[in-house]
Amino acid sequence: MKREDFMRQLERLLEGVAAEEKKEALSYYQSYFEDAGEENEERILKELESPEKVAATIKADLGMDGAAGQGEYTERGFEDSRFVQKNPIDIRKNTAGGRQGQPESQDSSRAGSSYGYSQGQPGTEGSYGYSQGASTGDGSQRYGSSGDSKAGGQGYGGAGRGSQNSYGNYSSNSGDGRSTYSGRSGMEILLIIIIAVVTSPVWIGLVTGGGGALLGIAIAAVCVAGSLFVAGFALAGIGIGQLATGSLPIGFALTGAGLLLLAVAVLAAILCVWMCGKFVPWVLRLIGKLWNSIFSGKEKRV
Amino acid sequence: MVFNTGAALLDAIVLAVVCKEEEGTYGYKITQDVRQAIEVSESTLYPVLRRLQKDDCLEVYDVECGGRNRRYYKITEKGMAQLNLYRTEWVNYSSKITMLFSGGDIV
Repeated sequence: MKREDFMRQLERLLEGVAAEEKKEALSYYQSYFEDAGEENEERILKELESPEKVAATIKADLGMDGAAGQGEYTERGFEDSRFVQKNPIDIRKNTAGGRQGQPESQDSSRAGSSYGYSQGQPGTEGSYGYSQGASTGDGSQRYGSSGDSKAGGQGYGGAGRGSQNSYGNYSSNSGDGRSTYSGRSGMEILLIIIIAVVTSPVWIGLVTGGGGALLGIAIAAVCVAGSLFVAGFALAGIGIGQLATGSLPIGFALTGAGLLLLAVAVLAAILCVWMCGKFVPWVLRLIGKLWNSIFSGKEKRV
Repeated sequence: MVFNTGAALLDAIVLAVVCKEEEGTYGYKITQDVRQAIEVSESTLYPVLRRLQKDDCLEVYDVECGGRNRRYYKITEKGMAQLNLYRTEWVNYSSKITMLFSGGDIV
């Protein structure tokens, strides 16, 4: 096919397209051939495949193939159709129909981001806004730019993360489960601190004593479990020995007692593991929280 | 290429290519420049350019060249703003993907 034939067919295929669009498209491809030069003509004709395909591409972009208007490019991830409709810059909704129906196009509802573009008066001021919220809600980012058409300056600024980190006017004392609001009078806070300081010998002793006691209990439990194991094995061993060599009743009795001791030893061992794995860390955390709450109380005063 | 080039990325690439030429550039050259980065067919870019033009991201003007008019495309203020938006987004997006591919955690 020659270039002239191609252009003629394209013109015919673009019937029904608005006159201006048709003229634009035809002059574009006319120029395209001319700029490419005759030596590239054959290659371009081959790559363009057919006038039908080119015409379909043009029509698809103009929303003339019916389905094109629904095709959204989900890589952009906008979810709000209002923006898509209003936004003069967000053009993705109808591009090259040939690329529609990609597998990823089903994700559009999940992507949690939206683009917005607004312009006040043509040629005066424009502002772009973009916001994205992760579906988990743990991060948020904002970009904004505003450009004056004369200065042409635009800036991106402001990245806010984790809005939950700001507590407003109160701080939470996590240790005792109470919250100290700034509304609480200064006298009350002062009183709490004074009481805490005055009674410090008592509660510091209690805390350290309690910790020591726990440690002692844990060590004792380990020792008890260990000795029970040793005794159980020894008794069972002697009992089996008696069964083999001496009297049967003594053998049975010793073996039974040994196995019972082993069972108790297993229980003690489980208790030890529980103590070390759960209870002790829990107590330590509790102490830490108490300490933090007292400490932050003091800081508050300063 | 294995990965699809979405419409937004295509817009961004075209804007970046046109932006490089202060005096503007024309359809055939834009296509060749874009092809240095991604595979596009000869017919891909006309709708993109037309759309960007309608959205005032590109402006067109005709220059007489060898007894005929050649249509030039030039980026507008609005186009620059949009391109900057794309650039920021791209850095954000690509760095996360790169981090993920290299086995790191996204902070």
